[in-house]
Parts: sequence; C-alpha cells; structure tokens
Amino acid sequence: MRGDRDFSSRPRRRRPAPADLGLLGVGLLTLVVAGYATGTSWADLKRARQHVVDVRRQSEAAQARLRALESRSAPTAALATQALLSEEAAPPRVLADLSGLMPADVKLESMSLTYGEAIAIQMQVSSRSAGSYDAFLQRLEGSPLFDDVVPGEETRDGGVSASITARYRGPR
Amino acid sequence: MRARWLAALLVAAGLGLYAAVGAPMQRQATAAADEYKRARDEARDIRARLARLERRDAAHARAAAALPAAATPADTVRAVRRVVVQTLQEAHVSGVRLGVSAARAPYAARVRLSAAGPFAQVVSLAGLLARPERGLVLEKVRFSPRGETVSLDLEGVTLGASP
Repeated sequence: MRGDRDFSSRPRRRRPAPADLGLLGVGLLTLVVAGYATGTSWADLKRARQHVVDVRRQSEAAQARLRALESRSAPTAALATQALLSEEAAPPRVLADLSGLMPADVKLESMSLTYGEAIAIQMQVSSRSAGSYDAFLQRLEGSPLFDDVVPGEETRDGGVSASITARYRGPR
Repeated sequence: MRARWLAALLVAAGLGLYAAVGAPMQRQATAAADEYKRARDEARDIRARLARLERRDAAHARAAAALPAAATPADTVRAVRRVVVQTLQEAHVSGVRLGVSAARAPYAARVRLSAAGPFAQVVSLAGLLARPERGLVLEKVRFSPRGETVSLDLEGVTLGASP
C-alpha cells in the first residue's frame, strides 16, 4: 500500500528537512574525521615508539662494544692510535692536505711530524708576500683537518719566513 | 528536532574524541618522534666512535702481525732491516743511514733512517715505509732541505705480539 493512500490514524513520520540532514552529515563527518585523526595519531605514536626501541637496542649493543674497546689500557690504546695514524695519515697524505691550503707563493721549507694520539706538526714556511702567508694561516686555522694552529716566530722583510705548529686531526 | 540533537551529539562526540584522545596522542607521537631523532643521532655518534676504535684496533693488529714472529731479538732486527732495505730499493734516494735495534715490549724493533733525494722521492719513501704490510709504526718524520735535495729523517717502531 502506498503511503499517500494511508487513512490510518497513526501520525505520519515527517521526513527530516534537508537542513537537518545536512547537520547530521556534518556531525557524522566530524566524528569520522576525529576518528581518523585519532587513528593516525595512534599509528604514528606506535611507529615512533617502535623506532625508539629499535634504535636504543642498537645503541646499547654498540655502546657495550665501545666500552669493551675503550677499556683497553692507555699505552695499548695510544700505540693502536699511532698505528692507525701511520696507516691513514702517512706523510704524503698530510703533505697533500697541507699543500692544498697553500697559496702559490707560499713554500714549505721544512716540516716535522710527531705521531702519537694525534700528529703534531712543526713547519717552517716562507712566502714572497705577507698577504699570502696570512691567507695560508687563515686557511690552516679554518681547516677541519688541522687544529691547535699556533704561529711561531716570523720575520717580515718584504716576504715572510715563519714557523707554525699545528695538530693534524686526520680522517675521523 | 531529533535530527538536530543527533547532529549536535555527533559533533560533540567527534570533538570530544579528538580533544580527549586524538590531540594528546598526536602530542605524544610528536614527542616520540623527537626522542627517536635524538636516539638516532646518539646512535650515529656511537657508531662513528666505534668505527674509529675498530679501525684503530685493526691497524694495531695489522702492524703487530705484519712481520713474522721471530725467535730472538736478533732475528727480529734482521727481519725488520730486510723489510726496510727492500723498501729503499723501490725509492730513488741517496745518502742512506739506517739503524735497526731490538726494542722492549710492546715494541719489537726500533728503526732510524735518514736519506736524501728529490722531494717527491723522499715523500714517496716515507709513504712506502708507512704502508701496513711493512709493519712500521711511525714516531717522527722530518723533511728538511739539504742543498738541492730534501733530506728525510724517520723514526719508527715495529710491534710485538698484541697483549
């Protein structure tokens, strides 16, 4: 039986107005979006916590190995460092790194390298112009390969002749 | 009217869910992500330090194992001298003075060498002597001018068995 031919006394259910339907839609949408945002946050949290746990586990294993290696006696460790520097920072390597910082008219007159926990460098350089020597010193001080750069005695007579001490940090 | 109430209820439930659960969880996720970044950076530092120490110990082991174990200090001196002399033959230097002596543990022998030659040759000689297979650990190296050439003064040690 069709609804418009219903003669019963029962009150007819009113169809919701389009505005109400719209409001219901907005309510549902709000709930869905809030649920989605909550679910996404929960997944993010779970993933981030798992990453933290994984990284911490790896760190602890590496830290244990590190402690074992660091607990070696100081003389043995110093000797091992010296062996490493002899291999990885042999004189040609140090000279090449040093030459790379030298302006064309700066000349290395003499150089001594002392291998230990690091490489102590003592060098005598000469330059035809004071500007080039200053530029070399500035580059040396700014280089990540060298530190503790200390200019020593210098004579300025047109050109420059100077001694410099520094420490070669070597490859890290 | 009921539809409007229901809609209001749904909006309130959505906002309540987000405010009570979603937003705090989002903050916790952000904090956990920051913690992960810190932990990752820390792990990277530890790995870098570990890699260097492992390289260091490997270099020590190579230096200690480079020369065959000798029965007596005299055998050690002969073996080390042989290695240095072989290396000298590869370099075109002159005025060579070589001294090899037995040394106390943890060293096996001490080497003192001076030579002269063109700059490139003496630098190359220093590099050859420092190669891992030679077993020589450098202590002091000095390059200084000698007339038209450059002189090299080098001191080094060879290592005994690892303690």
